[in-house]
Amino acid sequence: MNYKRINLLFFLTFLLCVFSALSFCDVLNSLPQEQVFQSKNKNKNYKLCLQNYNQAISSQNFNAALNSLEQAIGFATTNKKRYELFVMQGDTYFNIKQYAKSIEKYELAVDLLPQQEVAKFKLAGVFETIELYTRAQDVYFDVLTYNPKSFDAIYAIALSYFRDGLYTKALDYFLKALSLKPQNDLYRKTALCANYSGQSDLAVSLLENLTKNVRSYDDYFLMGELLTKKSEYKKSIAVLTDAINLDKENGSAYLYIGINYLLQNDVESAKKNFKLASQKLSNSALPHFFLSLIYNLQKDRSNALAELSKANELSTSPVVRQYCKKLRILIDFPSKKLSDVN
Amino acid sequence: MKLIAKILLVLLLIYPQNIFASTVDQDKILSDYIWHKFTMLNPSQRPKVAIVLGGGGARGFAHIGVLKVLKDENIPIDIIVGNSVGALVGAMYASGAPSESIEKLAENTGWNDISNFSNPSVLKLFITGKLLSTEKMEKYMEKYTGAKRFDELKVDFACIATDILTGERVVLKEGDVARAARASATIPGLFAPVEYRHRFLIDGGLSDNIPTDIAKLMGANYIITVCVSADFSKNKVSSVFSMLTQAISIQGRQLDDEKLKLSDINIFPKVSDVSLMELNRSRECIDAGSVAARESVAQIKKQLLEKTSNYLLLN
Repeated sequence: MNYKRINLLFFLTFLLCVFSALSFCDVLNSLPQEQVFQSKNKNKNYKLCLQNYNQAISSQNFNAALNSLEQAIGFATTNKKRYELFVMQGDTYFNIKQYAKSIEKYELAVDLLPQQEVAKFKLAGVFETIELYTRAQDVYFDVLTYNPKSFDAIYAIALSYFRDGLYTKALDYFLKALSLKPQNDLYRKTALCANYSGQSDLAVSLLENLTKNVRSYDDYFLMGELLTKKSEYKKSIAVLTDAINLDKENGSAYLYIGINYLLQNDVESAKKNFKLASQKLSNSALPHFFLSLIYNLQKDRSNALAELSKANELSTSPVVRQYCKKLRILIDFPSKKLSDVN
Repeated sequence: MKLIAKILLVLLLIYPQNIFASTVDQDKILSDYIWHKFTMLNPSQRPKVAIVLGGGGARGFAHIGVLKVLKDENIPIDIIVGNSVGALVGAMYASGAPSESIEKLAENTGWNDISNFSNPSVLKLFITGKLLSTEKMEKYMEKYTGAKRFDELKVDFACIATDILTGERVVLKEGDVARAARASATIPGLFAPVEYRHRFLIDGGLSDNIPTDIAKLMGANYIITVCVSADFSKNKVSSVFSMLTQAISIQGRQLDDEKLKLSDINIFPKVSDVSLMELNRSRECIDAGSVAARESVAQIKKQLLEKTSNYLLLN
């Protein structure tokens, strides 16, 4: 009997110990983390916080990651370290799409070390993400006040204006960036921007310069497109032929050459190129659409319908479908008055 | 850390590159082709396009941005109808001045260039009641429009003024352009009325800020309206002048809503926080006009092509 009592007492004591241990762990967990740090060495604690941060980030626990960074700031011994921690906080908030918080943290970093550019560019990046382009541009211009030849700032201003739809202003900065670093990709972007801002002559001349150094299908194709827009059809055909010489299997240039011939009313040459385009671009509706258009102009109804049905089958884009429908009506009702069809 | 920051910086700059993506877009190729055909049409083969430029003082610089974008996009403009600042910008554009030079001009224009507006003259106005003069405005307009008459303009143009004695809306489309534009932009209560063909004229905004019906009467089949009215609910009405402009804005708003219904597309540049007199914010207004116009370009092209696409497919 006594043994039984002792066993029960022992068992109950054991349970009590387990329960107390568990409770103590809970209390520990609920305590603010800084009380857990045993060491008085700030550097050691700082590193520990960063380890915790990395672990939290790898397990996608962003709240814990942010807590670790907050603790780390308390242990940071230099402004440089604090700056980096504010930037990391900004990054983390940015990743979880808390943009206001992200801005707040990047701004703290900027205030701490105003000459450091990383936080500034990241701050501007958040402004761009939430489409506050003017705020972003203010940040880039701030960089230019003490570093007027900062390629990164000039290029970022160009991109920001471009995204904001201010193409003329963007072009000024693309040209400035280009004068600092005449990179091929920058030539391409500047040309596109020049085209958007209505300066197609400049766009073509930039691409001509570019193709002197690097012969690329895409650049010739873009130049061809721009020349067509300028109604310089013959020049466009020549440039697009250069594009074909670089990539014979790419059908887009044939398609565009066909369009250039069609715009000059050279229907037979257009037809020949659209046929070639339809072979190379076997999944594209457009060559068939244009062939149908030509056959209809030539009053060849059966071929027009055959090509239109292929275009319909292959068409995936709403605009092509819409024009296929219109063309179908025009083929079916050739004698109908235009005003009725419209 | 430094390396990571550098990588992130590079990524940040690379991020927007997708806006330059050069993929072959079938919709774009076909739309470009059809639009190109449209731009090749004679004016008689396509809808007659009018642009109506509303009044709004300094906010009207947004018209310059709009006109520039429409030109860049090859959207034809056959008729311009303007009121107040819309008349000034419209007259310059109709006379053949390129939008780029109008833009540069706007950036360097102050009240001193177009009137005798200054602190002492405003003080004099309040003490003696002597209204300010816009004679300089007429000279300025003569200089930049080449002192043309309406029938010498490159684009059909009309502007609106109000007869201060009868309250009538007066449509100005004959005679001297500079004087007509000046009359259209004569802010009441501040500038003296302009004598024009036995009438005393002031700002057209009083009788019709957005004269879309005039565009229709001039033969427009497609009307683009640019509205630069103020958001008067946010104004602080603290002075005699602000009270006056507030009263004009309230009255104008009622008329504007009706007139906007006649338009095929309305462009509203985001300039409502710019006051009537803030000519120094021209750059901001021009940019706002460009952005608003860019947002409308696709819709304008679509609507114009809807009216002509069958003709384009058959020719």
